[in-house]
Amino acid sequence: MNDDLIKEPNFWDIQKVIIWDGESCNLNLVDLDNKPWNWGILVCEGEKIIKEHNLLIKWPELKISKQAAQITRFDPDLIQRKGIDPLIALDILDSYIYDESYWLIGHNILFFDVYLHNIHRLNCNKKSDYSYINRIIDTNSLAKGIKNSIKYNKKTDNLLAYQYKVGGIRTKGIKTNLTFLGKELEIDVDYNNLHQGINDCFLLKDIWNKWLKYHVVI
Amino acid sequence: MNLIPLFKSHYSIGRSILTLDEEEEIKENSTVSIFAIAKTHQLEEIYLADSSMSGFVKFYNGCKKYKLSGLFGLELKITDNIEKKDEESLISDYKITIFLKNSDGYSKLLKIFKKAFTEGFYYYPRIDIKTLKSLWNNENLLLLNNFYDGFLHVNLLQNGAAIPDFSGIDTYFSITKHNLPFDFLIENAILGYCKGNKVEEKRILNIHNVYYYKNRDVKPFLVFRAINNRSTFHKPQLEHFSSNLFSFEAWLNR
Repeated sequence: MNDDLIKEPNFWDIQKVIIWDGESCNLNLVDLDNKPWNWGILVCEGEKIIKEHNLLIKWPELKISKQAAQITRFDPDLIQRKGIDPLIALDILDSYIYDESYWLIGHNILFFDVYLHNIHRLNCNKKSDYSYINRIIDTNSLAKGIKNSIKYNKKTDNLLAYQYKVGGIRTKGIKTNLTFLGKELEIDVDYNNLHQGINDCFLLKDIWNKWLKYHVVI
Repeated sequence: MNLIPLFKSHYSIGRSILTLDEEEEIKENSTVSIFAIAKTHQLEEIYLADSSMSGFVKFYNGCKKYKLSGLFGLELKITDNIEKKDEESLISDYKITIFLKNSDGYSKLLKIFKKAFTEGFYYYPRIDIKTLKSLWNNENLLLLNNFYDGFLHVNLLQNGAAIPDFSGIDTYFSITKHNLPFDFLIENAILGYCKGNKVEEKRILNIHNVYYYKNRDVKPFLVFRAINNRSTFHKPQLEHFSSNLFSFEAWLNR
């Protein structure tokens, strides 16, 4: 897996990044009822965690499917007790997303979480704003690219376009989900507690630092 | 520059919920006809791009009845070689729309349609440039490069390997904005291509795709698409289906 690591001093060793992940009610990307009820955010400088946010969001009305509730271990009592106002949660997330000093790392975010964030904004009466999109690192796309031997080339590829391109590839036998990558890299976490925003972020941080960051030269 | 509303009708199966019924009014809780939209909003011209010829006669008759100027287009996929039918051949496929300039073009378009739907069919109708050129006539037809799923989109964002050759063909390019986060990437690619190939500015058209009437109609549209996709509303499995701005309302609010 580490055949082509770039051993030179790495941009990412000092870069400010957030690692973020959202949980929602289903997989619809346009329905405003598909509200995010949890954002996990790790704020990092290089490998060091500066801050972590596990934002549970209390919406006035939330329609979550049974299947999604089961997969994400949605706990209505916990949301009732610890949930915060959607606008406050959005302000926290947006304070990082629209801060140009941060790169934004997440798994499958170009294909899911950016739209979830958009739904959150629209529900808070804010306009769509994808102006941050050029600072996105989608680790699912990168993993697919590497495993399909379509590597990112700084000289010829636009990083965002490259991520869209390889992120849409489906190859039989190639797995890039978080659990699979974590186990492949022998990362020691409790795999039963995934699909909860912040837990996914911790695993992704390790996957990023152990493997993927060496494949993205900025 | 004008923003052209480019309609699709339900004859493009699964791609639009607008009909070509001869109706003058938009009724609540009912399907919406493109003619009713035209009458309600006093449009004088209708541009339609469907993925089959099935609605052509209805479109023609409706335009005649309501005294509208209509421009009909057939959306097709261009492939590298019409005889090559395997998974690998799909990576060269991209969408174009062929518009009729006059009634003489109808028989030409029918021939292209027939070729694509019979000899070229592989998952969907396809034709290659060589065959297209053999049936082409610039006096009767014009070619519009689609923004979404056009050759620059598939090459840039979908791992495609389309090789366009529009020499001798009356060719136009479309630019659209539907609030998808990658719109600007495709737009930049199109403008860069046009600049590099010295395409005249008048050949770059601002298009607004219209698949439903109001922004809120995205819900029934998605249900319709999910049925066609054998998926569900909550798990539609339609990549990047995230905008409700493929509506006539969004064109009105431009």
